[in-house]
Amino acid sequence: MRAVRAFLFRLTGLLDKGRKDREMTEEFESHLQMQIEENLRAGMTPAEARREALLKSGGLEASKESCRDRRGLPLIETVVRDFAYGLRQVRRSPGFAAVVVVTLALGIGANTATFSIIDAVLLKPLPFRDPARLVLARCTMGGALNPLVSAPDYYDYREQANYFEGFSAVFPIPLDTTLQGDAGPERATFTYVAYDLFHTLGVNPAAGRWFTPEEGRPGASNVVIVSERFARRRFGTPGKAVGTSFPINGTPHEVVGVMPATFHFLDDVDAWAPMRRGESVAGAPRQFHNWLIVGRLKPGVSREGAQRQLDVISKRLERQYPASNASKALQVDPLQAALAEGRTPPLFLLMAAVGLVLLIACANVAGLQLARGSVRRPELALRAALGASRVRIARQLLAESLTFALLSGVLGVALACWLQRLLPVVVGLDVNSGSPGRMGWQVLLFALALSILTGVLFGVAPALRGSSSHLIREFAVGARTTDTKTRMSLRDGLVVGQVAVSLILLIGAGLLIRSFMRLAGTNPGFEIQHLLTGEVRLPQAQYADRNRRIRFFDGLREDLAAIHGVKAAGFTSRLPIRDGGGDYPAWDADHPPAESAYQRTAQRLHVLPGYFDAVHIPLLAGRDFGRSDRDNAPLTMVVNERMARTLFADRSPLGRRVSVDMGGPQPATFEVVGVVGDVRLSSVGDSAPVTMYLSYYQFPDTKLRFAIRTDRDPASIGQRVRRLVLARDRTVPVENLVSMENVIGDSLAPQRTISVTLALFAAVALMLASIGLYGVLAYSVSRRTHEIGVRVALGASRREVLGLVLKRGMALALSGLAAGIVAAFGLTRLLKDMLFGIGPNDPATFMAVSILLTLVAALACAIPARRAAKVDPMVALRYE
Amino acid sequence: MAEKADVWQGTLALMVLKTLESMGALHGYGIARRIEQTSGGLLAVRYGTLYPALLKLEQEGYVSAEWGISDNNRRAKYYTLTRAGKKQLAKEAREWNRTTGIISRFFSPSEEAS
Repeated sequence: MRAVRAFLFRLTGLLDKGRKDREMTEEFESHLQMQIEENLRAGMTPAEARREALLKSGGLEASKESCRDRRGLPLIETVVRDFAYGLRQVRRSPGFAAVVVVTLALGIGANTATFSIIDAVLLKPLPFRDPARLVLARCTMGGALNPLVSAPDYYDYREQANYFEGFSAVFPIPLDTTLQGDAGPERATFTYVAYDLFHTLGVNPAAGRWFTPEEGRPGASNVVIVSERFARRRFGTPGKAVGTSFPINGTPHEVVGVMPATFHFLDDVDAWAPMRRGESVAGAPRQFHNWLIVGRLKPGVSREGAQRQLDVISKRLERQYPASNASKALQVDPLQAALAEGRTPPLFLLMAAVGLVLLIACANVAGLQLARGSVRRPELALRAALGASRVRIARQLLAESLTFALLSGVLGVALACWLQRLLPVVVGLDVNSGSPGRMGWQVLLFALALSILTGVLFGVAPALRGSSSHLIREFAVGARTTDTKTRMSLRDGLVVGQVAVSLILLIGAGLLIRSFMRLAGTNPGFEIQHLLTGEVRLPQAQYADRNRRIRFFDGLREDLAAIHGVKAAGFTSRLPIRDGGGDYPAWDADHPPAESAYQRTAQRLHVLPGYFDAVHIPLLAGRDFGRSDRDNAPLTMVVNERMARTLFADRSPLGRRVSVDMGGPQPATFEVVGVVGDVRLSSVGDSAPVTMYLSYYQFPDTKLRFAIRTDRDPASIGQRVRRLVLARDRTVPVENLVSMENVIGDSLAPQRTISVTLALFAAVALMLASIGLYGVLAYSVSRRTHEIGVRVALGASRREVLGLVLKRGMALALSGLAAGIVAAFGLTRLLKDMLFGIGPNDPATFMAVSILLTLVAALACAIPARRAAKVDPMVALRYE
Repeated sequence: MAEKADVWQGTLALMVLKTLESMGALHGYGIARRIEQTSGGLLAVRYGTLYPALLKLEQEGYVSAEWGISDNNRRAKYYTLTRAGKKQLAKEAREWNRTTGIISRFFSPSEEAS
């Protein structure tokens, strides 16, 4: 207690030092005077009295100093003094300071911004109540993530699992519907969720209420909860939305609640409707997997415990429904980690890259400090001679480095605030959890820790060197500084390290760029140029009659094909790369597989005649669909090459029969009439799946996508397409009008941005490393001017001098190169999952990058080497 | 001139507290003189030891300080014992007596033997 009190007193003693000092002087003075008076009384002369009194005091100034130490906190005071001294150094050499601070601020800023995104995506708890108890339950088949779960399975798990407080399904694909707004038809997205999803997540509606359990039962009245954004758009204020109703696919739905603007979960949709057993998408049977499950564990239940319970239920379901549930299970993962899957590799890659760049920047600054350290040696030697201890000098130098680092940190945080908004775009992910643009304390703490680490990293070598015990000896020798061998080898080591690290970054960037080029150059199986895509959705109510739908699209196809500049128009339920879709169990009807019927599925698309022709998918055998493939005619199918091979091996597929489980009581049987080329459906990077095309005339959906082949810029006919569609029906909108080239470009955006970003960082690293290399050589040349002068005077040719410097520089660069290659061999394996078409040790990339680095290094060496070669022996010798 | 011993910190605090207890409020010079007198001129109290000790006692709350006027009309800082200081003095005096008692037991028999 007393010690704490004393400490507080001393802490306040740091303040108003002036007054305390005056008081102390006065007290000492009165003490002295009393002593003098006493001495006078004892009979001394005034001079004697004063002398005696002063002698007795035992050194007034020293006494004051020990009082000052007792009054304040000497350690804090010297530290403050060290930092003040550091700031003075900053002011004394502003150019040097600016270079150091800006270099480091860029590094710290980039690191902080990246960390803030990692913090938002991975570390900051999800904005739900007690998020640690939330889990994502995903279906596995034979151990592999599916990840969607079928509705009947979901209800079985829900009824039997009792370790969960909430167990709610959500349909993870946004559905859309057309609304008639004031400005014509508009699109709204919606999805189905278990009535208690929001309760499970623990998010209260901003207005209105959650769904009631009754509203989750089949046959209940139609209700929806809408998003704040949608409510604002359609009703002005969220509050007004509650109680109104709007149609979804022609059926009016009453709005009972509005979710807050901050609510984000999976895709942002406009409205959520309750999932009902047996209704709509929840009516699909057990072999159709459409749902994700979010669970809230009961307090005290571990994830492992919940997993064991679900495993027991999975086994039970497997016995009960062997046809659909063989080897099917449910895997429970923490919600946050599961949602972040897939986003993490680019983030960690970016973090590693910016970390390495900062490391190189630190090495550069350390090199600069070391070089400056030799200039400052006389000053440091003087301090040492005046009695400053080694520790004291090291501490002062470190304090200087920390001053630089902390200044950089402040600037870096400012930079990070700006970068933070830019980065998600660059990395290609949406940070929808948490509010962007705000720096949490964790992020600030990270920036502070990083700044201190940075200061120590680049300050420790100069501090140790600066405080070495040679100082005083050198002071004695004279102010002329000489390079000791150790100092140079330390700077050499820094440069070798820089070159090695930048090589690693360059190789990483090179691999990603090459892999991106491969990806962009991949043939998706159709012709992407001059192709305009879009979609048309017919309102359910007006187009309940299937023949009306067929008539509409048949007519539209003719209209579009007649546009000037259009070669052909194709219609399909799903365009490659652009749209998602589903797969259905399909098998050879004459050779049905024994057990795992549902493991073999095929992607299903409905097309109008002429689609293959329009997008240039080659017809390999048989025929395209025709008008004859209609309602009452036998079901027909066109398969892709892969499906033909998978189902029929070498036998000709034409005329064979394929059974497809479409969810009805009996599988439907089709006759194969044609074989077309493989098309990469989901992404350019994924190989073409087993695919079956069915005739639109036999499966007339309300929504179709079109692809129009033009002989000019596809965007130029967009307006014309809109007009033609509206001319057919004013209530039908055209949506997502975009050229196929842009679709592919957008689909590759994440890969492109991550490789461009990494290339940028690698370029910065290369630049910093070359500056480091240049610095070391330039410094050594300037130090060796005298020696070189002597050499030239003794007959060394320019070429020999040039070679001398170049050799030294290239020795450093090549050592770094060798070290970097060895490290890269090990490290690039971490990139494996992000590469396409090349291995992580792709020799071409390693070669190209090594050559590039060697060239740049040679350039960095050439400048000081040329300067060395130009040394005039007379000038150099006189310079002494 | 005979060599005078410097007092050391721990015991000086005790002496200061005891002095203030017996003399009441006193300035630094008075404390120093009193300690020197009490020691029979064997101890010398220097500024460098006295004033840091007084500061420490003040920071710990055992003494309080106030500016006043001395007998011969000089401004001086007067130190007085606080209640906490009185308690502390009693405690330290007890401990001191015990310690010296123990130490003297080590020395007295050997004296008898010689």
